[in-house]
Amino acid sequence: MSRIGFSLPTLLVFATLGPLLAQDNAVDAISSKVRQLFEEKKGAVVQIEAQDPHGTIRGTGFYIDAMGTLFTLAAMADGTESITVMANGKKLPAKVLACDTRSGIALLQTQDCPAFIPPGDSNELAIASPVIMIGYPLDLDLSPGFGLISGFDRKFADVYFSTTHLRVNIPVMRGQGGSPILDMNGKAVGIVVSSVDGGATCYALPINAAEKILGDYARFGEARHGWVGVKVDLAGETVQGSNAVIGELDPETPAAKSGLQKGDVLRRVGKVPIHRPEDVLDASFYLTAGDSTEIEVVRDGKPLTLNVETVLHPWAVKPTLQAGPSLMGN
Amino acid sequence: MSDESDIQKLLRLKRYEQPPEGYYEDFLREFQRRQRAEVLKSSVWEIVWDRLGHILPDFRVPAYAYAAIGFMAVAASSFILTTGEVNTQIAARPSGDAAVTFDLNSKAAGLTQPVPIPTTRMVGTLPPHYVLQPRPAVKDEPYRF
Repeated sequence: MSRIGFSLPTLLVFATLGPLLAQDNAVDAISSKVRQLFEEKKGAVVQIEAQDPHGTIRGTGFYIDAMGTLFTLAAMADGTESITVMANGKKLPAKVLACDTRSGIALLQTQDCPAFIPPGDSNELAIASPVIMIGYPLDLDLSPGFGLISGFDRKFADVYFSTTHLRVNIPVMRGQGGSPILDMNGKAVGIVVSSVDGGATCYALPINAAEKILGDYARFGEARHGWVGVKVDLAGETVQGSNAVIGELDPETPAAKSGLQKGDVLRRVGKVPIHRPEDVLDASFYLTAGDSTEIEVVRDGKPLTLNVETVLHPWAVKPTLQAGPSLMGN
Repeated sequence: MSDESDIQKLLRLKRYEQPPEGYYEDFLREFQRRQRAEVLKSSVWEIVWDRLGHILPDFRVPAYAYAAIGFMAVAASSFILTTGEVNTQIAARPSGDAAVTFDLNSKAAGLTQPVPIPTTRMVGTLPPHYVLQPRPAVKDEPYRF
């Protein structure tokens, strides 16, 4: 009896404390993992400084390969000069490889490279995937942040982005534009480009979109966004899983030359399946001028695949709208 | 009959009743004191306005005074327009926000160089601008590609 009397209270205590201890362990494990990744990757994250006509600007960037290639915000390279990278306490001069205001990022290069963060696959992310961010807020030291992927957005406040962006519920401050978003394996899956709602959360360009710009640079020495030349409308009915119909098509465009017709229902552009008109946003972003792209349509109820050789996006000639006046002053 | 004689007696008595000596002088002083007290209940501006209302209708300005005032106004305007100008430029920064610069060139102040107004960030004098855009890059026509 006495043994049972001793065991029951002990069991009750363990039953009560068990979940609490497990919770503590989970928090400790997350904290430990974030600290470990921060220590491993902080050498690859740098503060970047440049001069523009109005003075000094600062942001964050990170090395992506051993050749000293960096990703940062386009604002750091667009119309600026004397770009320097603060790495390992040294100030290194950087040159601009490519600056793409459509995606909002730039590629820089320095001679030395202390460490780099390999790219991951942003297509593998899902809602609530845990991620960490490492960046330089204002003039403070390099700081880590931990959060979750909270959305994959194509627009905010009825304004469409160039492509789908990751909404990450990590608070950001000025100066952290260009910071890497890492998955829990320490691979870069995004680049912080903007704040949302005053910095309570942030938008990050998926690393796959950044890799597209890097690929263009490797092939052509610049970002080359492709253009097909169609306007997509919402179809009255869904045909074979898609309600995106070609509404306009100019005669001298690659689309017309390839045989596409007004009224064709789009099902796939390149590797991107199309289910609704909004889907062409991502399909469009990943087109490269000069490449032949397969476009799958439904015409008169029959599937049809056409090859379209895209040309340079008119946006490359006439720059699109850029971000409006910043909420982030000096 | 007796009542009538009583009334006549009373009227005779009243006929010889007089106010105390100095009553009328005191009455005048008291009237003026009360009048001042009533006026002082109003604010200073009400008093001034009231006084002006009484003075101005009788005030006559010579005609040449109007001409002199008009001439001085024209001369002052011409002086300002020909000797000083302020140029304001609002330039869009690559990072997205607007930077306002002023270029004040004032001959009147004896200045030969543009004077930078400390609303513009200058290298080494103002803190750096830390980049973070308010939203991702925007596509103007989302359904065209």
